[in-house]
Amino acid sequence: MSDGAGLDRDDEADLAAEYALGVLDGAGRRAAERRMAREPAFARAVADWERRLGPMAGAVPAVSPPADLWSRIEADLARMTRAAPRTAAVEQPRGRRVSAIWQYIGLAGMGIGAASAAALILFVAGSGGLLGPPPGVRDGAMTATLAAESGAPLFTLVYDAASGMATLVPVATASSDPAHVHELWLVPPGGAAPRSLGILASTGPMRMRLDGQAADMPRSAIAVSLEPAGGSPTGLPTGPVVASGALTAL
Amino acid sequence: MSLDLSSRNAAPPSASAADPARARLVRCLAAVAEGDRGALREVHDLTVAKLFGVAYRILGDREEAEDVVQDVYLTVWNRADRFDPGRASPITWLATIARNRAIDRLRQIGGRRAAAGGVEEAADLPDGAPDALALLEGADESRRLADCLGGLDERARGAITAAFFGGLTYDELARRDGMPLGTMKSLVRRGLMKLKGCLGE
Repeated sequence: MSDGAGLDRDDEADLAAEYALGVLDGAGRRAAERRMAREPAFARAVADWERRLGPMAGAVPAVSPPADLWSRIEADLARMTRAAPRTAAVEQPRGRRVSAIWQYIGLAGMGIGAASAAALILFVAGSGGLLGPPPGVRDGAMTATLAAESGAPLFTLVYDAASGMATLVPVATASSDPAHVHELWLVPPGGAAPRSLGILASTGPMRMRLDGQAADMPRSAIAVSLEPAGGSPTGLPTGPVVASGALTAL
Repeated sequence: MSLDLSSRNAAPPSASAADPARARLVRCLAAVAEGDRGALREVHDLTVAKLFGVAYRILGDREEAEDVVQDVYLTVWNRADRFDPGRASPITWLATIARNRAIDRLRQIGGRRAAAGGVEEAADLPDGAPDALALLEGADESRRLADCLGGLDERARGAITAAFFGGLTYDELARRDGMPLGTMKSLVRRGLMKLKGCLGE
């Protein structure tokens, strides 16, 4: 490897520049983003190129957007922040039946470990370049990769205990019919009832405040279930589990 | 749709006009990072026409551009804490997000747009683009970039600006200019390396 170091550097400069310029095809862009996630030096090279070429965007004429664009953004924001913890769910009577899968998911939280490195990479994969590295990993940060039963990662969740904010990034877009929504659940260890963390926006990353949930976060798992429009009518998951994963400390 | 050169007639904004606008955007983005929705509205109001223009230029379709721009502000809402005013100007940061989203979308729907003549349309991009650049924001980096672009040979400059403004792939550029793919790749790569050297980094 050391023999080819100079050569590698040239290639790297090319790919970073090509990504920033936007000349790569879709597969090439995904490959570059994977490298950004793995190699901070490469991500910096992309950011440098984005900064070099970025001023060109100033030459693009402004175009008036439709008047209702802001109201659409606002509606999305309202959906994204509709994640206030349902405190009522905490007091679910213990007799309430939760299917075995949820107890199994709860156990996942107790097997600390292996997923965290991969989860961090996935989180970074959504950004890179001028978006920069994720905010400094601090004490009290936790992450979960929510994977489908097949093992395919669908969502990554990063929780920052200091701010009480969690960021959920869809890794793959799970298409969903309008009659159903994806609902996010905190699954405490030891078979306690899952607590709703809110309904997911259909696409794009979302940020939510999880104050009051923090005490139970370590050793918990996070899961996403398919629920009727408007969310679970019972306060407990009623639909199939779309993705789940253990919450681990960074 | 071609590059607007009418700005040639407008007086370049003086540094004293550009700097407060930039400082205001930086303040707004810091407030957005703190969860201030009013600040996001302000960022939107200050930048949406520019970002919509960037997305529209690449996608050539208003509805697609609307979806992309909507997504861009949600990204800004979630990631304003990643903006580092020491590393990039706020409008460059925002426009970069918009370009990346628009290009990703273009790659998804690419066949459709190419069939609709997007490639030919991009060929109309005037070679005078770097001149227009010089008038932007009055910023030093824009002027330097314009000078360096002006120093490239015409084919390299044409390919680089077509890729930047229109989101064309190597393959599309090669077909547009009737050039073998490998030749186009080395033309663009050499141009980019020359740019980097000219920008003094």
